[in-house]
Amino acid sequence: MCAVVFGAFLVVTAATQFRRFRWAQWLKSHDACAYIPAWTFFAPNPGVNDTRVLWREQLVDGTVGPWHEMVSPRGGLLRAVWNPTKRARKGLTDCGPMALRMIARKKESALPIIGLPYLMIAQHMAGLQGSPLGLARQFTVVNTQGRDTDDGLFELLFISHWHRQPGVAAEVPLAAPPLPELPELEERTKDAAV
Amino acid sequence: MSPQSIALWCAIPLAIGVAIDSLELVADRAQLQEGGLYGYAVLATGRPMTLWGPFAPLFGAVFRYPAVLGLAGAQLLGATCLLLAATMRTPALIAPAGLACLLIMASRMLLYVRNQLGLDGADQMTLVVCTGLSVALLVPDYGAQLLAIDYVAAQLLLSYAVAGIAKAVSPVWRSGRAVPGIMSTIGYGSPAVGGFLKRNPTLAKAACWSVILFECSAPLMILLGTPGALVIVAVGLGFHVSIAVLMGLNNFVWSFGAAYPALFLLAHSIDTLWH
Repeated sequence: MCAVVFGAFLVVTAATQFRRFRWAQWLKSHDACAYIPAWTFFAPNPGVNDTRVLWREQLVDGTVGPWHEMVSPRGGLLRAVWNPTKRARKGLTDCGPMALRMIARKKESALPIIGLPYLMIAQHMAGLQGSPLGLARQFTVVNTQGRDTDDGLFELLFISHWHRQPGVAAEVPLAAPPLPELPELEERTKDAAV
Repeated sequence: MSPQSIALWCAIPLAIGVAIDSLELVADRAQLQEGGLYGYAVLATGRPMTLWGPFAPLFGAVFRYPAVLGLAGAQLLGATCLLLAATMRTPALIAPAGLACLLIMASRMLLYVRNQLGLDGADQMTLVVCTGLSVALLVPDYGAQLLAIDYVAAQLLLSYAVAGIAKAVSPVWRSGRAVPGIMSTIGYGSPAVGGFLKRNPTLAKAACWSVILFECSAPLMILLGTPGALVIVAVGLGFHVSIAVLMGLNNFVWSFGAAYPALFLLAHSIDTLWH
């Protein structure tokens, strides 16, 4: 009995790795508690860029503040034993591109912005400490390479609508129009200041 | 070398890794609150069973903050019991150790039902090891215990084989651009090391091919029996420790380290087969 169960787990694990079989894909998509492992670490296409999610806010007088990173990267040797923010960073790195893919698939629809990845980012953005005079917030997903002081890659992938902060009266107008319209994918710039 | 004795060796790194993971979850608890990245009001919309249906209120009661911290607490309790049992190694504590593994596994699976975004291979190896250890420590049948530990070893070897093959077919890995590229990221790397490797392409290529060769050869090396297992463990530990230091993936050392003792039981069976 044990041999059959463990053997089946091994076969399913092996079959789901490269997502060739339909039944394996189906099984993986219905794996509610992530029991079937994915062992293709950093392969075949390793992440050689940092996908980062930044946010900024608009104040009641129309001033737009600077961009801030939602979860800042953590360096140093301590993270070899203690790295509590790694999950949130990985979560954002997963959510950002997932939200973009959903938007790209349904270009004419507003549905992706009520999809889980977009909502997770929006919820997190709304909960971050900001100015008491904040009226609305927006986020952006960017790809960067190297340290911020380096002259490396900067790729702007997406800028969200402005999202009114909870508790702010709807009658208070947003000073700037939502920029740019959704979806705004693959917009590249090297000179964008972030 | 009995399966239960091996299971208790596996339990030490497993318990340490689970304890660190639970404490990290508590330390970053702001992310679990409403307004955090993993606030439940939004996460509940991700699955029909957590949004509506007969079990939605039950899930809500367990998954909302601060109740969700109870799952971290349960894991920590399980890890403490497991560590005690594994270090004391008395027969009376074997069954409680198995129950502690089940507690850890159930808590983690519930956390993964709550949210799967942000998980990594260390989380999955932890589940694999918990499965094997639960069976090895709770089922009285010797054959079942043996199979459970061999299952952990087989998943470990499968993980290396899959990761190795996926890298071997990738032009980015074969050309030597992968390791300096990953190292240049601030999220998973050390840009200073990445920059150094980019300036030394031969070294970068050697680093990429070392990873490919180690991962692809691990399932073959076990055929050498105990000497093969020793090589896998020595190289593997160096590999995972360097990943922790350079990339900040601290839990791989503990979760993959927890599977290493299982290799020795499999190697012992192979030794017997050869002789």
